[in-house]
Formats: sequence, structure tokens, C-alpha cells
Amino acid sequence: MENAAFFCDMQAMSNSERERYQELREELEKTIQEIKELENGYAFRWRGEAVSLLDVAEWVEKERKCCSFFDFEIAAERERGPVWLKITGGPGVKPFLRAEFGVR
Amino acid sequence: MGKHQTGSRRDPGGAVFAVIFCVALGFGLWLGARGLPARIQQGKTAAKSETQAANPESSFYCKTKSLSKVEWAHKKQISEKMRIALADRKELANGYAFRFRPEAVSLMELADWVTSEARCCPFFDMGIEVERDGGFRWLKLTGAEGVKQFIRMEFNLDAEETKQ
Repeated sequence: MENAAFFCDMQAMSNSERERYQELREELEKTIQEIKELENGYAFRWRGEAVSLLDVAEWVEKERKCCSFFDFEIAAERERGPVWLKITGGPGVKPFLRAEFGVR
Repeated sequence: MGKHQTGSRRDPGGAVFAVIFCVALGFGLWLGARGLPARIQQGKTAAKSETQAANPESSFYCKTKSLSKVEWAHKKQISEKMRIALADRKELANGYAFRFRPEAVSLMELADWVTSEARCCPFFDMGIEVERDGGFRWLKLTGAEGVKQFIRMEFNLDAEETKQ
């Protein structure tokens, strides 16, 4: 099974943290402009003015608490350009991401 | 251009003042982890007097008034944490990457710093990398041609290397 190596600790977040996580995730998902496939993961793009870098970082902070096997990169392009979130990892992480985040 | 912009390409003196002020307050503290660069200390003085010698060739300027005094104070606090957390520096083709110990500075703090830096000095491309399993955090500062030289000069990286 490709996803077998990935295990998320669902107990790592408290109820209130999980609520906040869901809130952030919904907000961020609503405003995604583009999803790009990478060799070892995916990159998600937002318009600079449409997303708060702090919200992205907060979501990442929570996500990595339960799923520590991801590498994350948050990139803010100059002059209030796009914000990118790259989620990558070891072999097999892509199918996991597709299943977890509904990436097609 | 932002309406609060104080630097201008037509006013190299003002531009350099703005750059030095922004850099000194927002960035210099943690870059001085191995000794506060003299250039940055000069920058602090310049920020007060607005008489720092200019570098007319610089095309990078910062909007110092884009942050309030309270925001500057907050940024300074984070900068101090970053200074303590700084573990390594790597040269990139178009900038630099700075590595931090994860237990000493949080991702949220780095994002906070980047957010205010982007308001002040919008010419940087900035990236925060978080390695898996609690690994290191990286802050990448890159940009257009010349930004690397700008970073080297303003942050006195050559002198820093000499010290190491």
C-alpha cells in the first residue's frame, strides 16, 4: 500500500485546535487559484492580496503537528505577488496528498 | 508606489536611508548573531539622523512608514529571537538562505517577520521552509539582480564571513 508509510496523529491537536485547523483549511481552500504538481508533492497558489501569510503558516503549524512527515515551503513573491504553499515529502507522499486534500 | 513610501529611486539619499532603517531594525539584529555588523549599527544612527551617506547605485528601497511604531517594536522582538535562533547561512544564486533552530523560533514568528518585511521592503522574494519531523526552518531572501549584493552590503556579510 502506497500510503502505509504515512501516519497522522489525530490526537496531536486539541478540539479547539482542530476546529481552528478546519476553519483555516476551509478559508484557504476557497481562495486557491492554482494547484501545481511537483515531483514529490504539490504546490498551491493564492493571490497575494487574497491570503494572509499568517493564516497559511498557522495552518502549516497545525498540519505538521499531526502529520510530521511533510516538508512545507511558504513563499511570498515580491511586490505583493502570489503566495505559494508547497507540500512535499518522501516517496509515496503524492498519493497521500491526493487522498487527503482531494487533489485531482 | 505606496502612498507611505519614503524612499524613491529619484532620491538616492532617501532611498538609502529607508533601506538602512528598514534593514537595521527589521533584519540586522538576527544577522548579527555572530557579532552585530558595524554597517547595521551605523544604520540605526542614520535612521535617527537621516544623514547616513548614500549609495546612489542602489535600486532597492523600503517603505519605512508602512509599519507603525508598535509594529516596529514587535518586529524588533521577533528579530531578536531570530538572532538567537540563527544556526547557519547559505549563499544562493540570487540571495541567501538562513537556517534557524526550530526550538528557538516558531514558524508563526517567521511568517510574522516576513509579513512585515514584505510591507516594508517589497522587493524581496521570501520563503520559509519547514523540514519534516521537527527539522530546521529556513528563511530564504532572494530577488532581482542586485539584491544579493544589496544583502551582502547592508548586512555586512563579507565581514561576517571574515570573522568566522
